[in-house]
Amino acid sequence: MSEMNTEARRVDAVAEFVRTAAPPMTTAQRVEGLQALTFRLGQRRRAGRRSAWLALFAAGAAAVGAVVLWRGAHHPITADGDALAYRIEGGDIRDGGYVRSFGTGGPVLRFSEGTSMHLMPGARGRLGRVDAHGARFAIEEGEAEVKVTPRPGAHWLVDAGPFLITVRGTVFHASWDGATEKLDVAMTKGLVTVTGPVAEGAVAVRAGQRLTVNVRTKEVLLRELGDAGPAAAPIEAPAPGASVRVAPTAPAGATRARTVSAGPRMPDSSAGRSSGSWASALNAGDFDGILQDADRRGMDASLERTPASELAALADAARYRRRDDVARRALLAERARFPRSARARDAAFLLGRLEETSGGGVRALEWYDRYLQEAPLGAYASEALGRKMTATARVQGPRAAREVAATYLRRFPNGSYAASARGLLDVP
Amino acid sequence: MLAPARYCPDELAQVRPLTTDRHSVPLYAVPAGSRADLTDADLARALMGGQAWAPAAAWNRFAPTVYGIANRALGRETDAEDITQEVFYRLFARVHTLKEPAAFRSFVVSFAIRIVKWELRRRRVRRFVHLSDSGDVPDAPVAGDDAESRQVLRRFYGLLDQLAPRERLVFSLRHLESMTLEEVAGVMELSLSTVKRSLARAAARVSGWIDGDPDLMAFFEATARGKPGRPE
Repeated sequence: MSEMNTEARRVDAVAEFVRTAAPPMTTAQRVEGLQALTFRLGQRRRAGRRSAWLALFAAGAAAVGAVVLWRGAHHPITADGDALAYRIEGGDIRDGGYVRSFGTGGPVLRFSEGTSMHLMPGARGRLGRVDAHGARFAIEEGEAEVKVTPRPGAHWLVDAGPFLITVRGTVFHASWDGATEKLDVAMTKGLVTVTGPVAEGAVAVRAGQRLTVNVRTKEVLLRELGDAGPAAAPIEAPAPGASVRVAPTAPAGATRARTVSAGPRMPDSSAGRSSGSWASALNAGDFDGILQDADRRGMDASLERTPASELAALADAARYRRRDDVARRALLAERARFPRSARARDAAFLLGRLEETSGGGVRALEWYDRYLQEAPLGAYASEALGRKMTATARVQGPRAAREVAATYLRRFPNGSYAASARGLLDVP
Repeated sequence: MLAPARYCPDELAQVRPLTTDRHSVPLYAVPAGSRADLTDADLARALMGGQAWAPAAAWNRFAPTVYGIANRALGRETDAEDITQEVFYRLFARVHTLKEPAAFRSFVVSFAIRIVKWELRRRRVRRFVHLSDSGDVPDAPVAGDDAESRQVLRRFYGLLDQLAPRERLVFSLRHLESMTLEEVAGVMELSLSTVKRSLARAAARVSGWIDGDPDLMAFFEATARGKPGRPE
């Protein structure tokens, strides 16, 4: 018995010593291990693909060898399972794809086909889907430098706050400031398109251009890199297309515009639009031309007869040009004439924004509520709830907005109004 | 169409394409679930569902556990790192065989133990065919805060190398991982009586070896008394 106790004591002593002497996995080991594993997994996928192709080749060679060879040469990436391999330097990836930085330089995500995403110091990001064609990465806060390697079929998406940047092959910096709700995209090379809650449709940003969007004030500025622009003045500029236009915002109705860089020729708005759709004119940035065309045709007639897409283009052009009266009428016409359409639902939100910017807080709240009722999962749901929260706080006081803030946080805990919502809930 | 950017437990119903006919690119609202709330089952399901972030998340969650088991069982950090890699490399290829997502942690641990056992067998074979000068691999770095601890650990693991892989692993899981006998039996897929027999043999041999090594004896006796000893 005593011998057994002695043996047990020795074993316990050994176990205790080994448990305390063997250190846990260090952060560096974990990070480096993950990187190595990611590469191994990537290699396995590629090896699997090679094996699949070899098998295909062998079978095909017996039947139609030449055809199979051709396909092998021309379709290097086909299956969704061939997701790009990636590794992260200076950080790691946690649950939910959250990218965490270790050093002062900011983490860099490197993908096997050469694309890299560098989160600048202090920035936060999240890696979403990764497949054979690209990945989706969200900049939650701060700035990132994105270098996408051009290749056929590449499909990269970058979320920046409420905006979505669609990339093919390019180099650019994108930043999102949640506190001021400002997006900034500076293009070094290539082309991206940006969609979001302010600019309707996709805004094309080309090499040498900088797009700045202020969600709160609904200001959109597209200018050349290095052009400081009229920083102090609120600016609204036509975004799409290759040309760069800077238009200092003036009182409603003013349409003073300045073209600072020659790109593809802009439509001549002074002559009005005699041909082509308003929707295409909107994409070309010819807001003034749309409004002049509508005036020339007669605003009432335009509002009553134009098709839905044209009416939406008119409403957008009017909003961009701060012709709030025309914008309001066009949006109301959308709701009256096409009551069950998505445009009609969106119009409710946009009417709320119009009311809010013109000081009609109570009416804005009514429109936001209506939008949230009609489209609880709609494109502007986050924005509408966030605007409702801030409008409620302004109109009825912070305490009244707490319930909306709680709802917002429940639905959009990382939304662009999350910080404001938490601030409201912290109010004693 | 794009897949949802990430997995959101219990909120997938809210993931909707936000495309309107005004947008040329579909937008997705992806409600952010709390990562702290992500259960092992959620993680397993995300992994089986091919979510891009899931392998990294699984690694971050379980790699320290796997590394700890491998390190304590094998006694060498570099081997433990390699084994941890191997475990996850194979695990991701076999995760679809997991029937009970809630048992993901057990699945990972079982997987790790199986691979550690293979490694121990591989080492034994290498010793038989003398693939290293001494029949073992003594010079790889071992854990330990100081030179003395490392020396003791090296000698201890040198002794453990003489155990059969199954006995060594049973000993390691019971005494170094503090598993119950039933847990050891479960993860090693052995009967309880086999585990008890293996453990008794291993403990007796380890104790006997320590008894025959005055340096180790002095060190562990001192440790057992609550103060570190020093081999003469």
